[in-house]
Amino acid sequence: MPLDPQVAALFELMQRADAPSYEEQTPVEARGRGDAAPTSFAPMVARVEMFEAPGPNGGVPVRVYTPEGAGPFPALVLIHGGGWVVGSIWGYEATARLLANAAECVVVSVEYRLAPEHKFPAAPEDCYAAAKWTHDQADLINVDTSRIAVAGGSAGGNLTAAVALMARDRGGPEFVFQVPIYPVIERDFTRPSYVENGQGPGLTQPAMAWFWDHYLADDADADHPYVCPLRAETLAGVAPALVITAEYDPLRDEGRAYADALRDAGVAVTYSEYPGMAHGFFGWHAGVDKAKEAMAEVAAALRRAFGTG
Amino acid sequence: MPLHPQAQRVVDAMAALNRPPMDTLSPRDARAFSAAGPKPAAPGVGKILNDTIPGPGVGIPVRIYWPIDHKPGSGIIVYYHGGGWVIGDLWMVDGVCRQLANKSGCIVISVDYRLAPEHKFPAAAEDAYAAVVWARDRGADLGGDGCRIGVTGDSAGGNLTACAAVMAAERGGPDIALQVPIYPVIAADFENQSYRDRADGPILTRAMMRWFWDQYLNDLSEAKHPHVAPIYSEHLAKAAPALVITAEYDPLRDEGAVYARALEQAGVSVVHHDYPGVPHGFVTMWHAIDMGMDALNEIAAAMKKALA
Repeated sequence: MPLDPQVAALFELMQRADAPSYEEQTPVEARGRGDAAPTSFAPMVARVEMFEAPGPNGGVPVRVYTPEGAGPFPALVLIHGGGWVVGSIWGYEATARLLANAAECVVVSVEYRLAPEHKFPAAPEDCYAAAKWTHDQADLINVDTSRIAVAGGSAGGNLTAAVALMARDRGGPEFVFQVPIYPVIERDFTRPSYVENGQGPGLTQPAMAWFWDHYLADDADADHPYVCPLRAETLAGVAPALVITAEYDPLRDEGRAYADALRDAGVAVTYSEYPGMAHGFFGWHAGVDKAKEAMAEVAAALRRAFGTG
Repeated sequence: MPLHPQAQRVVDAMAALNRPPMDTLSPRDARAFSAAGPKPAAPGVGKILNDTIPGPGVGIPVRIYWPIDHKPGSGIIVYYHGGGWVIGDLWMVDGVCRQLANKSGCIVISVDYRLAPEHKFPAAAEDAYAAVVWARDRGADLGGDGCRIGVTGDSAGGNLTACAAVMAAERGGPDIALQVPIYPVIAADFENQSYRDRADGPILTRAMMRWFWDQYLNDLSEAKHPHVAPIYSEHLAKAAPALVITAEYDPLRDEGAVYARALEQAGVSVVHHDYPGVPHGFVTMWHAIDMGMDALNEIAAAMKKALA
């Protein structure tokens, strides 16, 4: 189907703002502009608190959102996107609150370290530390340790897949579900979706190349399973998944490849490709109807995984 | 005038939450509940950076906003959030700072000063002052002019605004071109007229204010320290010109007025604007109460003029 008219209108607005593309900026400049985007309405929850999870190199800030109700609640570890280089928990404020309310779970949003100052494996190690903290500090944040899930978009989807693998390899915490949303899965720019969509609008191939270059210290890291989960010896034993992709996204086919690989490994997986949508649509809940649909799909899948749906 | 219908809607919505009074909560719960409030959609700005600046204790986190179409060499506004020195954070005033940056054309530095009771007086006041020093020393690196600084903040942040201004006067700098305390806490007098009229709210109560004061001060003898209650400063005459904003339905209305009068008597140029029909907190409710947006426009215009 053609590009959704609501998405096309958003792209037109962005183009009119005439912002430079990622690869024309320094990481610091790109972060400064990204954070400066307009914010959407973020609904009320019961509690919001900041904590620090002990990480491999100092504390990892986490922002914890608790819905109304008595608890203990299931928990969702939420990992923001931004190509491992830009983005922060600030950009996920509305998304975190919407998910906490819709899936009736505590959301733990992770401020992991960014590249190029902190290259792989800083980001997945920080996200893993936050997941472990969620499990270990369950009483503090009113969480049921037997019902923890992980989700994230774009680079956050990559880190979602990485953390799911790390938890399997390291004997916990056990995730009941993972939701990679248009995840980065592999440094391969030749898949059809890259050929079709690599020049935009939206996420481009040069931008992805810039992100990858900042993230990896060494080309060999591209084959590390915590960078590219397809390189894992097996994906058997990782958490069941809902994989979301967008039709007009260079990353569409690698998301599908991850879903296929999970299925081949015997992992229960739902693959949901949103026609007419582009990379980043999940966060556009203020103006794009299909983003609301995707939010509802993720919340419903989480509730089923948590045993509350 | 009666409470404005827009303000009444906010007050009703808060009452419907049925939360226990803040003065019966632990600081942790008070912070968690207040941070959980809805966040308005807020406009884009030119650039935002989160940073940490040197402080007298540990580093002070700041969030720095550049307006859309920022002109190099602009003035710099230092902003202190409210929350009785106990609650509140940079998130709470993100929308306010975005608005102020765009409307004034100035860089806005929002300051995450240390909170009580973990850090009692003078932690917050010293952090507030340190942020002004940093703005002066590093303003040029930000693309602004460190010689043109304004300070503002709401509620306890209004207290820190006034304290930073008298501390700068007492310590011989930095030069502050304008201070805008927004319904500030100035000096604890729980029996003045506005405290008697609004002891039970709306929004802010006498019991809450007593609780905040108890968390902030090590002991009551500090209540007249000039860095707690700036009206007792001997250096008011050298303090920055002021725009003092107060609200009619606010226990703090009279102390804001007392501060404006004290400055005036010391020979400082002061504009005092009392907004009728609105409660404490109306400026950070700019998305729900039109007069809050009016006040943001007034503050931004005053800053633009003073920092030009």
